[in-house]
Amino acid sequence: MTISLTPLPYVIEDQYDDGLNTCHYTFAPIETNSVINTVIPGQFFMLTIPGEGEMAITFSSLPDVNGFFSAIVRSTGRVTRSLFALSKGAVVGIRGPLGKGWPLKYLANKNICLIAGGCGLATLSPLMDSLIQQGNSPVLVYGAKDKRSLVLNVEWARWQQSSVLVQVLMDGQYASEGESKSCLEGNPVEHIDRIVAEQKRVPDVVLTCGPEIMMAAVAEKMVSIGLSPNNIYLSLERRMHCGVGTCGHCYFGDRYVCTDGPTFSWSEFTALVN
Amino acid sequence: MKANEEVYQLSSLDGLKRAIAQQYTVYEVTEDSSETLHWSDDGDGQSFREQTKLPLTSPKAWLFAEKELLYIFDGQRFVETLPEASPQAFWGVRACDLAAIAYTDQFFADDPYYKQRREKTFLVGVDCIIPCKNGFCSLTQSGPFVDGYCDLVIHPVENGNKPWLLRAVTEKGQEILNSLGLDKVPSGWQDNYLQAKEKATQAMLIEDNVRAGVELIVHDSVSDQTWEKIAVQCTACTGCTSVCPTCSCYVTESQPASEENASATHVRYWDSCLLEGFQKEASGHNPTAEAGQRVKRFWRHKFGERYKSEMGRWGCVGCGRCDDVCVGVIGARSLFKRVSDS
Repeated sequence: MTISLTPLPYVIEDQYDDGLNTCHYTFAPIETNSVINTVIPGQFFMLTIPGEGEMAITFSSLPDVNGFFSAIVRSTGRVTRSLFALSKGAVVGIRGPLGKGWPLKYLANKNICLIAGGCGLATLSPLMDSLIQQGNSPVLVYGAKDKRSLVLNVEWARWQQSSVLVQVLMDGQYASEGESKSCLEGNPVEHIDRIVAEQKRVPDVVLTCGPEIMMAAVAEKMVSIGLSPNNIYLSLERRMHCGVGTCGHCYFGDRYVCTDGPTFSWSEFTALVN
Repeated sequence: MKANEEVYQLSSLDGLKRAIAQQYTVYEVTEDSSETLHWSDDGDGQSFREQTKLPLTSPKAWLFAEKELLYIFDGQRFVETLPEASPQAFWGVRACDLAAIAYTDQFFADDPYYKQRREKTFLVGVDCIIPCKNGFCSLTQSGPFVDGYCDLVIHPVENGNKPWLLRAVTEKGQEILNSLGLDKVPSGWQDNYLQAKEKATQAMLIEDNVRAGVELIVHDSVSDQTWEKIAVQCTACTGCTSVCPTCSCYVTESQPASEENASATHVRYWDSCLLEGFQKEASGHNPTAEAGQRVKRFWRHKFGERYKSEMGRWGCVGCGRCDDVCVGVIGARSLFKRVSDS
């Protein structure tokens, strides 16, 4: 099967600030017969800013019946800055879905804990939606630098209706006044014992996304309290130019993050690192 | 060549080359004033005279272009820009380079740009009856004789008035042969052929520490400290990745519309995993910031067991070109010896 490296045309349907230097976008297809669908939570797409470049971005919500979906982008480099300079209605390119999503078949009816750091919450967001829709009530632990760095604020408010959410801020500034119990200081790893004790059981499966050092610490902590490395999953970030396993940039051990990942089990991860 | 194949003999290759040239632009190896061999479309058909030297590059650039326009953006739509490839033939491709093409054919099997060029390509392979200086293709099972990954194979015979044996591998190759009305080779040619193959293989100098070095890399038994020591000599000039017939990393770049270009463009260029910024992310995070990590990656990509099981062959075809170009003296043979002696 020939793979196309040419994106489909979409427009920026909506955009709003969603955390420090971060913007929440909704993309809509221009042509109804050229729509990305069948996306698994955890997969990503290549976003093209015409004349500026392409970048790998995760779906923070899956395409709806009209093909609309959302993503958050933090302004970090040249191409993200060029996206921020665009207005509603601007044409962008979308190519995907790409990569391997979260292992949904292992998650049905499981006691699940999601642990996010920073913008890593984005790739767990459609998983959160999907689990809630299936009647699952995952525990979501979200660590960020400070209150103004928190992303996906609208989604967070929605998830609060049905799940246990824990915010952990580096500066200890409570995100939600009066909800001190769910707003902790430090980083998520420091609070795993307490969260597990409150839940009265070790989770069956843990899925994490954030800085690699945080994910590694989460995984090691979870293994130390009895989780199998096969039941811990993380999502890696790497520089990518193609998303289809040919440009070579995202290699990790003898795998490519774009096609063999970005989700890996902790046992796969450790085998590739060593 | 196998016993049951139709094998023909020729006293001159001129007619064959003319027949191919009727359908294809023929590229062959020619020598420039600095005695460097290049692929060129203005050769004289005599390129087989120099059997002991390889051209500076393989035909890689004619299949995986150094710069390829991927698509344009006309203001509303993204339009794929497949190359307008014209029929091209490569006259006298060595077994190592054919093995490399077999490798990249698999790697780019789904890539529309590569396929567009590859489908228009006719390959004439040639057996190396005399090994080249730096080659170690017998160690990587990719030579010195052609294993069939082409349209026609030419086998030079050392003695005799009909010094060329010829066989077709593909239908395209057979059609060319049918148009020539060639004589079949008399029986008994196989013994001489197998002797020549054995002689060429044995003549290839592969020292014990070269073999040992490869084994250490295959089994990932080289310490990170050794990779770091070796990498001190890597100047990241990217010479090795440019001339390597299987290296295929690329980077993409977009350009806005301008006075010269009415549409915004998106192109890809050859890139090199040995460059410090190859994996550097916009955030500044660089998973392979150390040169040793990158040099290790390069060689593990060539001699990693997972890649071999997927591709059916090593990513290194033993051409030895990296030894020819490496200014830091850490091309393949030099590196294998260093690794083995560490």
